[in-house]
Amino acid sequence: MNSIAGAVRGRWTRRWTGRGTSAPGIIALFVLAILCTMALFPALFTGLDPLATDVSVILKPPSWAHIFGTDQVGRDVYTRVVYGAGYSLGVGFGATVIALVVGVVLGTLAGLVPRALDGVLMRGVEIVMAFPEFLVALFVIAVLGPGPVNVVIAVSVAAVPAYIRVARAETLVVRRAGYVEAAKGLGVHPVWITLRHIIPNTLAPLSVIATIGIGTAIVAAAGLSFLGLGPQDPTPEWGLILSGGRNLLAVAWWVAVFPGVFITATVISATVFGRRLRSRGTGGLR
Amino acid sequence: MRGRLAATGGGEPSLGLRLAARLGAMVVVVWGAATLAFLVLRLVPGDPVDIMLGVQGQASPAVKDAIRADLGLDRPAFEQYFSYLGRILTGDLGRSYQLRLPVVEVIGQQLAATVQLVAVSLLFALVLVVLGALMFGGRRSRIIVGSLELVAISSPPFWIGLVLLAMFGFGLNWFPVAGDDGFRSLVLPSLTIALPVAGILGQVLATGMADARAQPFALTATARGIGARRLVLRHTLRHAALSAVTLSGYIVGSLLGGAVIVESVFGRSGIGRVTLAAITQRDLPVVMGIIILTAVVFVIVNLMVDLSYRLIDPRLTLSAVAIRGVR
Amino acid sequence: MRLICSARRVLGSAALIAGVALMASGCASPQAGSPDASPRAGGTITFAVDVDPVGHLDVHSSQLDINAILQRPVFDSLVSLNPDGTIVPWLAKSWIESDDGLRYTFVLRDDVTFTDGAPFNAEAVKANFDHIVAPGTASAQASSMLGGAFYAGTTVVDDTTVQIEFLQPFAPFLKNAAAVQLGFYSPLVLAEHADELKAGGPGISVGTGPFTLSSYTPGSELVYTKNPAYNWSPEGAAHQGAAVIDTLDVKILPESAVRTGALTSGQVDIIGDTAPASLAQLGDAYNIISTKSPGVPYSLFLNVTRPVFANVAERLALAEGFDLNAAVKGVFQDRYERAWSTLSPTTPNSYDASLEGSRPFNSGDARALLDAQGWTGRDSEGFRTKDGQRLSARWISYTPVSEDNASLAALVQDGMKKIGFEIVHDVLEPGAYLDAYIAGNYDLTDWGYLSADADILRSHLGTGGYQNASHVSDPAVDANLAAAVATTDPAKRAELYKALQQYNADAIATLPLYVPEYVLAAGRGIGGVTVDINGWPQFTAAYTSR
Repeated sequence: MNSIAGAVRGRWTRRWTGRGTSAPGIIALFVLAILCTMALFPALFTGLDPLATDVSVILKPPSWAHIFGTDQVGRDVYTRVVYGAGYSLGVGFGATVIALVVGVVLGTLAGLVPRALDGVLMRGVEIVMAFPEFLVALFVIAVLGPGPVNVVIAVSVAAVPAYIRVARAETLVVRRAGYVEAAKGLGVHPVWITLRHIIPNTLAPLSVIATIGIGTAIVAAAGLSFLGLGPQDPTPEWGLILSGGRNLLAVAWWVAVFPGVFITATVISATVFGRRLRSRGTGGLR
Repeated sequence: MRGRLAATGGGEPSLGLRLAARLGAMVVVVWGAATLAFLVLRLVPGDPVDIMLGVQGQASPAVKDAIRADLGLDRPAFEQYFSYLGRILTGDLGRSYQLRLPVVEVIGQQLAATVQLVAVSLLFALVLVVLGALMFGGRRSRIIVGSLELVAISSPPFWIGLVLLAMFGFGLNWFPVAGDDGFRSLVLPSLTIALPVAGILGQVLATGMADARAQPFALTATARGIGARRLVLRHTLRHAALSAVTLSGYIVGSLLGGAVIVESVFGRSGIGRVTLAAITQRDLPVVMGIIILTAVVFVIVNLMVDLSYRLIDPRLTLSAVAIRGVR
Repeated sequence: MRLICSARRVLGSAALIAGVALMASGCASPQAGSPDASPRAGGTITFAVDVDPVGHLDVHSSQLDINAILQRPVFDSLVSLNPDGTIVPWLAKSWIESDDGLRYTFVLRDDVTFTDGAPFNAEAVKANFDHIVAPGTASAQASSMLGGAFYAGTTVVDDTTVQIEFLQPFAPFLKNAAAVQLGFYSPLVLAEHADELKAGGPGISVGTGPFTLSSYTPGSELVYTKNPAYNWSPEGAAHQGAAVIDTLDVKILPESAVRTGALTSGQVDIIGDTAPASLAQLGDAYNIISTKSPGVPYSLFLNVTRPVFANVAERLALAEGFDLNAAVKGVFQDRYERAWSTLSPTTPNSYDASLEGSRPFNSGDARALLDAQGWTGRDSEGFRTKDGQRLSARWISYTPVSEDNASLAALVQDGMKKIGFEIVHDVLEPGAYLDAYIAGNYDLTDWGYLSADADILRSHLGTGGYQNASHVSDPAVDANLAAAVATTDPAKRAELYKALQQYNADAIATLPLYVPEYVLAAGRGIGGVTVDINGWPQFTAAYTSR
């Protein structure tokens, strides 16, 4: 829900995942690999159609034929969850990439432009950061209106300030580094320096935050879908499937429980994996 | 830490100067939020009057023009902006399009319910964290608690709510599933918000306590023959609380963001429900009011955090804490 | 009206009769309440509903059903409509209709006062009806119930006599006069708080009813307090005099599972708009009153001006192409009936039962129809094509779409996909929906329209009608609609409406899907709750023994 949560998750999970080779890290990688395969090739995991209805098997509990049971129109919940991976990972990945790109561009700029301009930009970032990220996403939806594309935009807008801050901080450090000063002395064009030296150096720590941020974005997007502000039925999206099951808890728990398990598993894996990336020395949170 | 505005750094300016700087920063945040809210209103596509009338409104153009003039929407943008700022200073946040009531009244009616929910959630989170620290201090149990914390942080709050509802509401019938009456109806919603917060706090606290245990004062205390539990309660917990306090911005965010979802899942009234309704119905004056309210809450919390640093550990200065903060 | 008292309609229509007979003791006078409940004066009844009419509390301009339900305790009408369609005196002691059908003269009760002390008289009636038609009120529903363009005006004859005049005979008027939309505000409120009616609340939502609204928290709660002076229940009502309970507490609980849970845990006494899925949870301890809504059933409207539905063949293919019986049965867990006619079975004096069973599921025939129309190609996704164009229809709905309707839509889409007909379901925000609706930029849209009079077909099938989403324009249809609204002869009206239902069954301008029901579930110890023709609760006689 929040990049701070992501950062904290990443930072503090170190304690129990251990520093060197760790079973959790390997499991996380394995789970992520499965989820990504599921997202790209759902048909490998199920022979059914996520939209195919069957009124003869409405709200049937898990069985061999339907391992996660069936929903209110007899669709196979497992198949819908499998196909939902593509949608949910896509949104999480898409929103994170947008936030990363915008964050790097604005953050690098802020680190390079004159102080006054930097100050204005950073005050703006601070004002946005005064709001809980989920509320920021909600406010963006209030402006743009609901819809699947707007959910991606809303989630990335909410995440952007954190990336701007880190990119700016990294830029401030890198621009004073010896090799950058040397390049300047050699008369290399500033744009080239920025592209060649500064941005690549900010990317390393940002990629760690982004890995964890994907999990955060997935939860935020699922939350918006759950509130009915994202894609609409019958799209197999985890938050939406879960939302469809919320009034059926007393009669059919499986509709709401399984997509939730998948969201949680995805976020945990992304977090643990992001932590692993960092401990390999690709960068660190400051 | 996010949004720390008074990261002055350098030497220690006088208290008066610091206070002035902080107050100035608070005003900037609220003013910025108000401006942002105004821009939100201007950016929204579509005629505000049409949005206000909704699907049902089959009003004549004359009636629409009258409403427009009434709201001052026919005047130039900058004039609207300044009269809007002026009204905010006098505590007037405008009228809700949908509820046809003053925004201050709309928020005021619902504030108590949300404050209650958030307060109890925070209490639960703290209790959970302290219990976890006291009862599972050992290395092995720490792994279990750590795993639980990771699950709590990683689960979507609406899902936690639904699972709690299914287990303790519908399944075991221990707690009422809905309503605003009494403490019992607060238990499940508060727990839903409290679990992720407790997860974060627990992880931060655990690290802080590990650091604290290695501090000389802990050794001295142990040498004096103080019990392990007592050591935790009297010394390490306090030490570790510092790092947790720096997270308060995030925690307030979780509490408020959680309120939106929890109030909707559990059918409670409150600011979260008002926010969601205002967003789905494009009730922009209410959205603006909530933005300003959130900004005010944020600056107040930040101020309280700074004060509490001194209470928890008088040795530390503001800037020293800021460096320790988690971003 | 047929009142379905039992929640257990699992055995199909043959068992239905037996079921109704079994429940006859509890059902004859529609009442909720367990046999063990013994009446006790005073106390509080808590009633949970799904939404509140935020910002639409003015009975004269609001079109929300929930507003009509929640304002009924506060507002009375001239007459009262019984569930069987008969009309009895209420605030009017008697009335006379002129022979030409243009003038209604009402003689009012002289002992009625508003809860703010103002007397109810002919001036009050005139002030209210004037308010309904005033342009500033922007009333669509109430003003059309008052005759719309046919309404001429209201005249005060003396303190207790008032005349309503029309430019042409308007048959539905008496039935409409019983609705809360034509209820009466205190003239003091209309004079001083006219601009606050939409916001509503204590001191503003003031009528002559058995309760006064004593507190309103939008999105959360409405509290009503008994009006001790009330002594003007409709003629023949089981309970005369002031309400039995002291307080009616209405809670807004949007989630149906939460409402059901609140009932089963005893937090609330009665829940409204109970979802079929929730009914499965409630056992015998709960009294369930289910009432089929009169008016236009929940239907698909086929836009006949668009290429895909310009010919009746494609429309028929939609009607026969998917298994509607099974879909309704599945989604509503055997509790709602599929609809056969564009009028619901409970619409008084109009329903054509001969249409029942007239068009069974026949995907073979639907395929043949589409083949004959030249939709013989297939694209990569398996949809039919003609001249490279995919056979596709755009269905628009506005948010929020209920879960049950979303499920039904999924079944319609999937069923039609099997015969190669693509249905794209676009769920739009109200604003975007209105734009698309007014521009006619859709092939299908959906709704049900509650109405106690079959005249509702005029706006749905008449040329240029506001709800004519199908864009049908047929002089014969218009003539029948005009004749039906102008005649007060019940037999003649019934014949005309039957012809219109037959027309729609052949032309398929609308495809009726299911008959919605308003379902109340009451807990142990609650009794005396009656329902009106819409199945909406009336609390004057309600009691709690807890």
